[in-house]
Amino acid sequence: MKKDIRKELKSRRLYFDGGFGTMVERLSGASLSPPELLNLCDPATVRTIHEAYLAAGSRILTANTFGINRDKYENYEELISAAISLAKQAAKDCPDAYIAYDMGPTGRLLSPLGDLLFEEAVSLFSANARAAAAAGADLILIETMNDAYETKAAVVGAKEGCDLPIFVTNAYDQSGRLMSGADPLAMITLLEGLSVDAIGMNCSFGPDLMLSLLPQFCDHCSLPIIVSPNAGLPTVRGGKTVYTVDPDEFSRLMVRIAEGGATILGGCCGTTPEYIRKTVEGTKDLPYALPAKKKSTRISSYTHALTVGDRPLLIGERINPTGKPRLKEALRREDFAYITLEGLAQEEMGADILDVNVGLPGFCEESMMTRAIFELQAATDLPLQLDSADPKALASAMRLYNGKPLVNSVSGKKESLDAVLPAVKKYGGVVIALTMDEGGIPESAEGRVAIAERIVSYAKRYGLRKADFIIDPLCLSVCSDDRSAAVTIEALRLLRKKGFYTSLGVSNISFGLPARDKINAAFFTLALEAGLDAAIMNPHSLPMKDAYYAYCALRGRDSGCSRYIAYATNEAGAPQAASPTDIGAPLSLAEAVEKGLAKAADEAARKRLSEGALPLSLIEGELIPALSAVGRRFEEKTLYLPQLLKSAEAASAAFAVIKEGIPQRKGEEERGMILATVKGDIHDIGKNIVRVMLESYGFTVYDLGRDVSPEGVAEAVEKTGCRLVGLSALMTTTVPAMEKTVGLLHRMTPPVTVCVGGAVLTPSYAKEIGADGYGADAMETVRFAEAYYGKKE
Amino acid sequence: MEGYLYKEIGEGELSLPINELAARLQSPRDFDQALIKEAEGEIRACLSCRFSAVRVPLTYPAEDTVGVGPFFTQSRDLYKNLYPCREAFLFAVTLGEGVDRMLYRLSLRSVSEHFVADAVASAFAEAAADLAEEAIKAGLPCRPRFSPGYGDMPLAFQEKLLTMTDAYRRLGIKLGRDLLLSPQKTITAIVGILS
Repeated sequence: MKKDIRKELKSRRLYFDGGFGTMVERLSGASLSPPELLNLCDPATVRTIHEAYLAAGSRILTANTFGINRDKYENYEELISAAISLAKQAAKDCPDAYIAYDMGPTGRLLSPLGDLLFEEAVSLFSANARAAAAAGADLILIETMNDAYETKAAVVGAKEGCDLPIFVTNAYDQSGRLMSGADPLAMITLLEGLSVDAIGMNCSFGPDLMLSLLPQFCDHCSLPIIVSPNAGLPTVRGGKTVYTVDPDEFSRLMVRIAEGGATILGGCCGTTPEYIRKTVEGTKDLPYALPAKKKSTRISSYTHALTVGDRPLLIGERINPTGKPRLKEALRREDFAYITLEGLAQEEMGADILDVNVGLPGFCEESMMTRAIFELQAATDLPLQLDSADPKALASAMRLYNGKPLVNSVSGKKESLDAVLPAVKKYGGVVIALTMDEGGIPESAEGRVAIAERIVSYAKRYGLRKADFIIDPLCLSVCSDDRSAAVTIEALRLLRKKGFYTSLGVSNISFGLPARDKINAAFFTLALEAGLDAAIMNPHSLPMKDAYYAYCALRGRDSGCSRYIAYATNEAGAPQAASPTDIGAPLSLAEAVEKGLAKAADEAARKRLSEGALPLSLIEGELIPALSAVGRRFEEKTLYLPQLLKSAEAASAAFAVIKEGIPQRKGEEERGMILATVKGDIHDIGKNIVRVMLESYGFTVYDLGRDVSPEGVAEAVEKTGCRLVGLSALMTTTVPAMEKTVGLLHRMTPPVTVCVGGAVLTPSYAKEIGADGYGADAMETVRFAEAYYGKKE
Repeated sequence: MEGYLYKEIGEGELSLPINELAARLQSPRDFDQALIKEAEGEIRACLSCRFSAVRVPLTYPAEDTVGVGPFFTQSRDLYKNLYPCREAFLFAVTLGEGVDRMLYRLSLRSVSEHFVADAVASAFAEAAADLAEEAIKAGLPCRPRFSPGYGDMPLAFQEKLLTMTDAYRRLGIKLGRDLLLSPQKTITAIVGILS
């Protein structure tokens, strides 16, 4: 009986095989058809290749399954079974050889940038894993992926499909990152969090690039390290494709890679048994040891990792509905763009991490949370802190999160730990642990530390360790208990002495007091000095940031005071870009709209309102005429589309300010329009232009986004009560979806009016699919909407 | 060039083609420089431009049918462009995923900025395709380049071009269910070689 490969690795170095395609070309001529088909139509070639690698010294064979999945092949199970069977046959005289199921990428990009949903991807991978295990594979090798998200989907899928050991190697490009931006530390953090069994690099140009990236793995990875380079780059010699690195050069570099700390060695594109044989010869007598176990607390996004303890971290707290009516409203309307923009604003103000809390009574927190994470991940690469009291919402968010998250939070209550920790173990995460339990919040610092120790001790049964936690000793408002700051500070000190990392919701200290920022900033400094590692705070608060950057500079946590200098010169003075409004007198509302300056328009509107101007007279007397003047110049071609858009955005900015001053007249409904790009289409610039124009004329726009199903549009009609819809499509392939959507909407009662537009449509086609109107451009759509509401009055 | 060619195009090598940009902006050539410069700067900061190319044999089994390597496609326009060339270069060039993410962020913030930046990015993609084409041809006389989606060339043939240029492994290019390329600012093309 073969030993589990994980145990085997403790005592000896194992070698993967090399490239498959080059060997196929050698044996049966060049072909551009997929290699996995050979398992059925030319098994002898497949077996011969495996045998050749075994003879060269490979002891982990990768089955010929790289490109197989259920979407590509209906008979995927048959292909997988055949592939693994062939590898086993080849290894029948080599009982110490392992057969790896080779799981390559789907070739598709995951949502939101692409159209493959995370769960769909997981399902494809788990189907493969199930078939692999059934066919008798010894382990799963996930390889060549250039995207962290797809890698996560593959690992989650593999673990859900089987119990086999999982090895993961990614393809890094010449800049030392994955295509989607992840550096090795981000991948190590993600994959160790997911509890895979070995990590490394494959493909990626050549052994020299991998040699240069190897130190990052050796410094930070606690798992066995796999290195399987290409034989350099393909090039031409005498009409044939040849690789730039020959077997001798390859093995010389592999010796250095082995000496540099790599565990398992192999080859990728362009390598042949000769490459493996020379590599084995050169490295078999080298000293062998697994990487040392590193102790560190790290979280990651899909591009980078943050190590807790390097310097204090700022966690932006603004995505939280408590005390924020506009955010609550945005959540109710599912306006996730608002949420995302708040996240981006915090990023700009210096947040290292974003807290995400979207709990709203009466709404399903799980779906709010997963949607928020999804949208934020599309726009920002900051690591996220998943903040919820609902364990189900937390678990779903952890599953979907692209990286290793911060999880906020657990407490000392057994119920809380049992509900949250299993998901943390499964998906990886660093958990904020609040020092409170069934008895409440201990009054003494020692009492809080004791809870922290009990939490960590209890967590062992879930396979989690001290390094997986950050302790929040809680701070209560100093005006309800004047000892509360002292207790918290003392607790921070004690926790640091005992080797814990700490975090705090800093602004809680001033709850109930006036001029909160003054107290917050002073308390923040005290807490940092006591060892605070992460602060949940408002990145827009200048006093708190002043305290933070000054503290870090003073305490040597800011080399050359460079971060302080960048912060101080940015805030204090040199404006980012001198805007015209800085020069001379402020612009009037009309001027700001005509020049397309949104900030100036906002300021002008506020000024006029504060001077006593009536909202309606501002709109009808200044805003609309200014916009109409711009529209006329656009039609006369003395002004162009980008400028029209800027003017429309300026008008919208002013409108948003003015609207707040208008009481909704009884009986008068808002003029709304639902906009969507239809299913299958992700082009949305045209739709967005229509949205901006409509908003500038005072319409309320419900923008459903892109790739929206007919049912999705119908649902929005039901939810909002708005019976005017605009549909856009750019691609000929999606026009049928538009037709279906129009049909569905027309069958609703009361009937919905639909206007269509987009580069691919014409007035006659619009009529053919039954649309009520056709907008050749944004202005025509606005006129259609105006006419619709005009008719109703 | 035979076999594969892979090359990176440095950000400094790319210059913004004004005519191309003006057309996409639906504006005249000498239009708002400040706006364009700003967008150009943002795009340049996240460019990661590379291309992958391969030389393949061409066959013509029937009228209006072209065999590109082992794959066939029916397209009168492609046939007219290529016949009777016996070989062609295939290439894929991309500006990278960073540009997509930046454009997405802009789309949330400001439609006008997104509109301009998207046009700038598309213009850069065309410029990159021109540079790639010159590097690949290396002086050989060729037909004008032809991309899936031109004329009656089926968009579905995109997948075969990506396979033949090994675009996933070399460039990280992926194809969506509805045949949209990712990264979005990616161009694939066939360039017939005149004997």
